[in-house]
Amino acid sequence: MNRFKNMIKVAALAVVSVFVFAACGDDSSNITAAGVADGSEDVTIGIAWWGSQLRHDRTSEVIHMFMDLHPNITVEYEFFDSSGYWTALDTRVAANDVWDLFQLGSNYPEYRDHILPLNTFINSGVIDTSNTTQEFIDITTSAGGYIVGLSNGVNAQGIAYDPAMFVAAGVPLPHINWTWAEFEAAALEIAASQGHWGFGNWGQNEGILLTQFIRQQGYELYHETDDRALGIDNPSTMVEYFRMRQTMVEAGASPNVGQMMLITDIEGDPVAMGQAAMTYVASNQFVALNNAAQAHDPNRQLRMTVLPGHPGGYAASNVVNSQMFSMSTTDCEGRQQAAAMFLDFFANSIDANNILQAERGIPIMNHVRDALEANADEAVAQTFAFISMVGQLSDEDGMGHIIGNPRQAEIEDHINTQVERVITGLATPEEAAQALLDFALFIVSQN
Amino acid sequence: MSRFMNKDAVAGYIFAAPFIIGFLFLMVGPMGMSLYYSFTNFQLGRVPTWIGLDNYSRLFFNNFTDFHNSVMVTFRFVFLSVPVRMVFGLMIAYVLTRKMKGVHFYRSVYYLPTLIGGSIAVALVWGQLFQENGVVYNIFEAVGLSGVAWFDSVSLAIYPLVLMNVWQFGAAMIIFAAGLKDIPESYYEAAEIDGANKWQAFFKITLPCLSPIILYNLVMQTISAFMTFTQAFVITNGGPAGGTNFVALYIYQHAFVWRNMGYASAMSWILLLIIAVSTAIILLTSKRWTFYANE
Repeated sequence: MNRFKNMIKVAALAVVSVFVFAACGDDSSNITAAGVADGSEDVTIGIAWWGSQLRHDRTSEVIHMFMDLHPNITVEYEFFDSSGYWTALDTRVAANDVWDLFQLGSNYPEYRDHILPLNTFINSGVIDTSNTTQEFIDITTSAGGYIVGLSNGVNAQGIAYDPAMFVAAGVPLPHINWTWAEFEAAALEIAASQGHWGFGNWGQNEGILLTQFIRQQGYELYHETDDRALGIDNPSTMVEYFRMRQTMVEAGASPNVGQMMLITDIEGDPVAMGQAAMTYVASNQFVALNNAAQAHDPNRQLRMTVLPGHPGGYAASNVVNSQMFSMSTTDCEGRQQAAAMFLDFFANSIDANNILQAERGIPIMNHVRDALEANADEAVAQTFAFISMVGQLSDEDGMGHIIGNPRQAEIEDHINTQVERVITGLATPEEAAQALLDFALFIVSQN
Repeated sequence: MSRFMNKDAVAGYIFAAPFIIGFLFLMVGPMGMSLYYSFTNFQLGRVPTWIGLDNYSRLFFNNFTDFHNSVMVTFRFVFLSVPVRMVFGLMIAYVLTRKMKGVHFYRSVYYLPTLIGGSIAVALVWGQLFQENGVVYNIFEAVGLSGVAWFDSVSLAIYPLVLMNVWQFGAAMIIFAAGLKDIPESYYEAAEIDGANKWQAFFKITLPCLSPIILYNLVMQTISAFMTFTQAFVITNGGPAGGTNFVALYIYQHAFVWRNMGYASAMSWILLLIIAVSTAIILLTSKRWTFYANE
């Protein structure tokens, strides 16, 4: 009987110890930052990201490069496709066991409680930011001056188009100051005369496009400092967007709801398939889109331009953080130190970035950008030029970086619902805009 | 120690332990947690705070919730799919309990959709069939009807999902077949001597004798229809404009996409209540239409 009791005691102790040490991962609680930095203490950190196979191959190669340089640091990595990533991350968030470094995009406010700001590591120089500008640090800085991550590269939002279809329809090509009215007219004309969609892909980008549509009028959808408030107080900035969506679907100038369901990846994008003249594209995906188009017809050459804007309005496209690595809130300074050293290496090492090849977006460090640009092929060079053009335009309008909200996923999904209601005739554009505003106000009030 | 292990009861507990542990930790525990969470504003990854009945009042009285729509869509699905599925199951079971060549083969074939029908792969293929320019669309066009854009219509999008559900009638079929075999042959012989035709025999003998089986199938099929998730998740993701946003899918979206775990928990309990009440109604009315031979 005593032996039985003892077994229970041992088992209970084992369970308790798991909880006690989980905060610091087994036995790393007494590892010091200095010990990790000078290589005298061993430490293991975890990192995870989402992306394509190309990104996985390149990133894991860079990780091994880093481990060769720092034999005392072991980096355990996991990678996912984008939907699998969020499920895995949310599971870890629920268990309060997030990877030391994890990739985030513009939805970082949802994970703010789990992000350790990088300010101390940047101030102390562990992460060297001397080769970048304040603007590039600002795009990953949240209200209150917290640097929530180090950008892995920047993007600009744009429209990719097939110039041949514009020429065939006799429609003027998009230009750098084009408006939504010109965009809509071109799409309708191409649909009427060519039988193709003018604009092929709203779907997953509806949230980005409507947010940007509002921003181009000088407003933000979300409030800059108050998570429980919006940046707009009436639906007038959104009505025209819904009206345009409805008109274009009715005229056959963009896909209806059922047709949108068929578009699931960049290879299936209607512009790549030759079914549409224009599509939304993030600048780091332009090369992939162009490749997909040329897989159908080697003679096709797509082009990229800024989003349409409002006449006399604010910058149509913005430079945005493609994604970043954020550091999670652990209380082990040894692991924090190792994670910061990895971030520094990932952003500043030219050898590492020669492998990464700007696949996550244009690097924010000047010396890295120069090194890559020196031997870039034409498509990559076009992306570099596009980013710097958008960067100049959006610097001039003084709008600052785009504001997010912890509840933005739910609100962006509701934008899709309201658009579908308008397209299927369940609501007028005015009703949908009002309903969206009411919904968004209610949801942010839950923060 | 050895005396302890030699008691009969102990051996029983040990053998029952895997189930009891699973039941406590995987059923009772999580259910208790979700009941607690339903009274909190729990967001995954944050600390829950007690908010009383706020989640429930939001479910019933808040204009910004699509929950009412989800409940209506789910009821529509149940009313459309369960009767048709039952009729199909009974029909095929009736045919396949007659003495004929290769009946076992056919029974297996008709059962197949039930085995594979819940899978993601089949749902994907099903979605493709009904897409614009899919097989079904083109068949409609070929016979001179204009192609129907099922997934572009709030009211039509549910039908491909209903059809997919009906297609998986195998489980109901097997149970019906077992019930049909239990009806004594002598009843039919007596009816035949009295001059009854096949239809009369079916309605006066088969259906009454089968009514307890019908009740069982009705209850099970209704419960599973209320919990439908995969088809809507894979094929339509609840769209268009919430036309196929079943409650189970909506719960998933709130819990795991938007991380509103507290609100999703409240919704789960309401779904449980809806299923319980529906089942109770079926069971209470069943006294009027089920027939037990020994009564």
